[in-house]
Parts: sequence; structure tokens; C-alpha cells
Amino acid sequence: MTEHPAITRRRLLGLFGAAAALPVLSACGSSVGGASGGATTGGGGTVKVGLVVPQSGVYAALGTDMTRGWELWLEQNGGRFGDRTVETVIADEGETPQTGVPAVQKVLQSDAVDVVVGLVNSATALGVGDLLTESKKLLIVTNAGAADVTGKARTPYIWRTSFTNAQVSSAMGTYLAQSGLQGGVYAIAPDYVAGTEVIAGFTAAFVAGGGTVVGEAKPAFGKTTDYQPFLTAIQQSGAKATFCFFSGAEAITFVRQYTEFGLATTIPLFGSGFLTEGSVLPQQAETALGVQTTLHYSDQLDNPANAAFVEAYTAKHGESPSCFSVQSFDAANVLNRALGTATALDGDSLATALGGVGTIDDSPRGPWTFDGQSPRQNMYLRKVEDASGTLVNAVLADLGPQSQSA
Amino acid sequence: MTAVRAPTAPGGVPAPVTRVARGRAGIVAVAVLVVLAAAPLFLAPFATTTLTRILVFALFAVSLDLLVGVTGLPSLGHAGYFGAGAYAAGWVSINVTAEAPVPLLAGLAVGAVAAAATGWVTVRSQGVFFLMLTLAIGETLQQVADSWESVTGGANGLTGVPAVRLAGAPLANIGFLYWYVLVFGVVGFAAVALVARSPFGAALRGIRDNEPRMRALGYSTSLYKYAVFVVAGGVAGLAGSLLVAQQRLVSPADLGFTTASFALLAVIIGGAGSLWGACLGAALVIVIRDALDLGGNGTLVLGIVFVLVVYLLPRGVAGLLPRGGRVSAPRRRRASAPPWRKGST
Repeated sequence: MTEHPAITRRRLLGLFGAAAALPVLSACGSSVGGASGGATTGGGGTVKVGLVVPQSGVYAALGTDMTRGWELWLEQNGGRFGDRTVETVIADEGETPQTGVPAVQKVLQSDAVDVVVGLVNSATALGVGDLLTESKKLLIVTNAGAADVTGKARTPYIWRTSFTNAQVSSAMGTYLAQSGLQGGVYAIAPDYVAGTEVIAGFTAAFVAGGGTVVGEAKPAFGKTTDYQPFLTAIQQSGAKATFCFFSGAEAITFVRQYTEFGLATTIPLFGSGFLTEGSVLPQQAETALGVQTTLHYSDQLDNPANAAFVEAYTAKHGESPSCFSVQSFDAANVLNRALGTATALDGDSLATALGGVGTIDDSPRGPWTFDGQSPRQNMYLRKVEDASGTLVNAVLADLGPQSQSA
Repeated sequence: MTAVRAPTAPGGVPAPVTRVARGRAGIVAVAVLVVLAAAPLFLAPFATTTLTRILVFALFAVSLDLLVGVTGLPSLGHAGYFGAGAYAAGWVSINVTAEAPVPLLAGLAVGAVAAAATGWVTVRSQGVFFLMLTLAIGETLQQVADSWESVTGGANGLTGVPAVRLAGAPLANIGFLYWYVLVFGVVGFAAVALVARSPFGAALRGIRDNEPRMRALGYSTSLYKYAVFVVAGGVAGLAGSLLVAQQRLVSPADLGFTTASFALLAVIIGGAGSLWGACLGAALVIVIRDALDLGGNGTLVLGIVFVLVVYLLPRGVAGLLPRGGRVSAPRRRRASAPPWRKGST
């Protein structure tokens, strides 16, 4: 290797130094005093919100939808919650708690936000519990569906505007049990906590309604690309239907292979709504036709709030909103309502105010309420249909309200 | 790679360092320690949190450097031992006690045991085989963490880890926690530095530079490699327990490939073989990943930095200083290619 001029190295080292010094420069003060976290200025001025959503990694598409939903609400409401101007700081959650936890720490400690909104990954949502409890700040989770977030690991400071994994799937369990399906169902979901919760919720509701689960499979999470062995097992199980839960790339692969294997015509595919929600549907294309799922939202919902929401969203971004957009749109909505009655911006006052917001009657997903700290909301039965060239999740039925513990 | 080289002591121990140079290095080390110790008095909470994370990752990178830079064993699965130590410390904190030395010792022990259990296979292989074996072990450990939900919490991670307790009082304050991590980080660094400077370390560098010759000289090279693998695993486990003390959460990502490759990146940026270089590399990785607002492009920036370093600084940041610090003598740079380039020159 040839020698390089020393000046290049020096310049590079200078760059390193500059990069390392940047956060330090903006970070003077002391960390050893009593209270940690920024001081709440209060008053009628501003409310600072840290929007922590994935901007990189496999969940980046969800992060985009959430940012758009959040910004759309603010845009439609003059950028204010009550009489306070909203200042949003966006931070990258990344894929895992390794990046998600520091991002939440950053907005809390460095940007001194009053409220944190976002989080896709359940592990991150569970991992920041102590952080929020200690700094007494409010977090509104706009996706992470683990039951523990507002269940076993509940803290008064973490609320949720999305769903719980089991809530979505148990609606399908009840529906399938009542639909008079003759014969059993095969359940399949990736081998990780969310998959387990989805299957547990489905099975409990399905069995309670008189159904039988004839087989269950747990493909390795994030590592399975060929579902052939599982599809063979489904075929041989004698099941009359398949219930599954996949999302992202796995949802695309599974639905494609299920149809290409020829199962779609003999053993219909049912799933948790994320199977066909958002950006995965165009990629599944016609292989997803006829797949039925349950979810708390579809852009095809027929209500005035949704019509206005879809129109504004589509006009701005050229594509339909997803449930992820609605989840952050509603987070802004509930924060606005809470700030109308809250006495201060600390977590305790906001949590008390959130407890009293009552029914959210202008949500695109239809009216919902907080059941504990997570929504009690209507579940919809949806079917993938071709609406003049575009695949949509057409709404077949309103399955009624479902509470978080399901 | 078996070209004839100037006869030196095994591994090319640096020519006797002059007293002046050693004194100067000592002064710099003390100054750095004083600055680090005083940092939380002047830094805002998030800067202190970031610095704590840097210390943890630096200790992890230093333990990897003992393998990569000193012994010439480029491991892609070292995060497995880091994560195993983290899970052990977290589990002990939740289920037994969070009283100060216990989680640390648990992390150290489990890291070392995990390395001991897997190392006897890996150290018998070389080059690409070593790379692939360690990669496989890291992935397997991650899969275990993902699936063993009753102990690890699965994909949701091990959450609700209580704060470390020192003499009965929980260390919740960011500054105190920083000092706790600093103290044990320095202890771990000193341990690795002692190993690297000992006759044992000299033998390791000998193995790095010319293993057949070391074997011919009567060294049981497999045994040496096994021993350093276990030591590195133990230090990584210690770093893992410091990680839990700080982030109070362990997830399968902590023992995944990304973590392992970031550590390797830190070692290469800093200059393989230079322990303080690895610390600088770790600082750069953490700052880019966590502290700078790059709108989700942190990993991309790290990739660009890596490419730049490989081209402009073949011996890493440590190569910028011609004297001192580096474990092997600077004059030998042409003869001893960095270990990850073995066979490709």
C-alpha cells in the first residue's frame, strides 16, 4: 500500500474529533445534581414532543407512516394542542432497543421534551418503562403491541393508541368460531413473543367459541425464507382454514408462497391484519386476493372522519394511509384532548387528564375509548379485493368493540 | 505469510520503551482518567449517558481487540459473550440480588464459561473457518436468547432490571452510575492491558505473526489461544454486566451480529492491536449511532467511515501516532499486515 499524504490523515482525525465534540458542545451542565431531565417550563407557551419512530431498519416504512399521520393532525389543527404550540423533535428508533432506548433517552434528556410519542418495537417500549417512571414523563405508544406494555409491566406514564397483539387476533378467533367453519384451523406465526401472543389470543377465543386448532407451527423469526415444509404440514393436517400472523418481508413471502403452493383455493387463509396492511399489500399483489384479516382499521372504512382523513392524506402523499398513520394521528388527537384539561405538562397531570378523555369520537378508525391505558376499539373483518386495479382491504363486517386484554 | 522476518522476541515485543516515553504515556493516561472522572460534573445528563455507553462499548471492544489485534483471531461472534454476560447480570439482578459485585461477577463468570464452552472448537480453526465458526456461535446464542422466553424474555427482552445497588443504595443517578461504570471499565481495561503486556501476551503476538514458528518453538498455541479466548469472553461478559447496569434491559440484539460487527468496526477504526485505539473507535461508533442526529443514516455514515479508515488509515487511528501506545513496534508495519488481511496481501 502506498503512503498517503499526512495531511489527509490529519484532516480525517480532525473530522473524528469534530464528530466526537459535537454532542459534547451541546451538552454542558451537570449530571450529579438531584433531579434529572429538563425542567418543565409550563405556561401557555409550547409543548415539546419527542416523536421516536424508526427512520432506518426494517420498520422504516412504519416510521414514515407514523410521522405522516402525526404531521397531518398538527397541520389540520394549526400545530397546536389546546392553547399550546406543538414543537416536535424526531428521533430514530431504529430496529432494536439498542437504538430505540438511546433515542428515547436523547429526547428526554437532551431535548427535554414534555411527552414522548412513537415506538414500534415492543422490547423498546418495555425497556423504557423505568426511564419514563424516573423522569415522570408521558409516553404514548403508537404501535408496539405487547400486552405487557400496558399490562403486567404497566406504569402510569405509558399509554397506547394502537392495539394489543391478542386483541386483534382474538376478534378473528371469535369470528371464525361463529362462522360455522366445519373442521379445525391450523395456526402459524413466527417464533417470538408477538407471534406467541397472537396465537394465544386467537386460540383462546376460537376454542372458547367451540373451534379446534388441529396444528400449530412456529417458523424461526426473521430467518425463514422457505415456508414449503410448513405449507406441507398445513396441507396434511386436514385443517379447513389457516390462521397466521406475519408482518413486513415475512408477510410478503408467506402469502406469496401460500398461494403459489396452491393452498389458497382449498384452505382459505385468515390472519391478523398486519398480514396485508400498508406497504406489504402492493408487493403481495394478486397472491393476497381473498385473504381475510381482522384489524382496528382499514382505509376503506365508511365514516366521515375516515373519508376526510384518507382524502387529505392521499392528496398529500399520493398513497393511502395505513393503521400506523392512524395510530399516530390519534396520539396527537388524545394529547390535544388531554392538554385541554391537564394542569401541567408532567407525566402525572397528563396521565390523569388522559384517563378522563372519554370517547374519541372523531377518529378515522371509529369511536374508541381507553380501556386501562390501551384502546378498547372496534375490530373489522377485512378481505383483500381488487378495486379497479388497486388492491384494498375491503371491510366485510364490523366485529364490534374489543377490549385490550381480549 | 511465512516470509522470513527479522529475528525478534516472539511477536515482536517493542524495543525497550525509554523511560521518558513511558513517563509521557503515564501522564497522558492519568490526565485522561482525571478528565473522565470529572466529566459528569460538567456534562448534561444525555452527554453523561452517552459517555457511559461509550465506556461500556469501549471495554467490549478492548476485549475483542485482545483477540483480533493481539492474537490475530478475528471473531464475528464476540457479542455472544457480551450478551450472555448481560443476560446473566440482568437475571441475577432480578431474581437474586442487584447488590454491586454480584451482577458483575455473574456477567464475568457466564461470559468466561460461555467462551470456555465454545472456544475449544473455535481456536482449533483458522482464518475464514474461525470467522465462520464464531459467526455461527454468535447466531446460535442469539437464537437461544430469542427462544428461551422463560429466562430471557424472548424478543421482548429482559426488562425490569433493577438499578445496581451499592451498599444497599440503588445507583439511579446518572452521574453515580457513570462513575460505577468508569471504575469497573478501567479495571477491565487494566486487566486486558496487563495480559497484553505480559509474557503471555508476547506469546499471543507471536501466534498472531507466525503460528507455525511458535509451535516449532514449543508453544502449545491452541492452549494459548483457548486461554485468551476465555479471558476475552470474561471481559466481554463484564462489559455486558455494565451494559445492563446502564440500560437496565437486555434484548437479543445485544448478542447479535450487528453488535459484533460494530465492535469489530471499533477495533479496526481504532487500529487493531492498540487498546486505546479500540476505545476511540468505540467512542466514534456510539457517537455516530446514538448521539448525532443523522435522520436514520447512522449506519450508512459508519460504513463510509469504515471505508475511509481502511484506505486512509491502514493502522487505524492508533497509526496516526508513530510512537508509543501501539503494542507492536511501528517499524514492523510492512512485515505484519493487520490480522484481518492475512492471506489477502
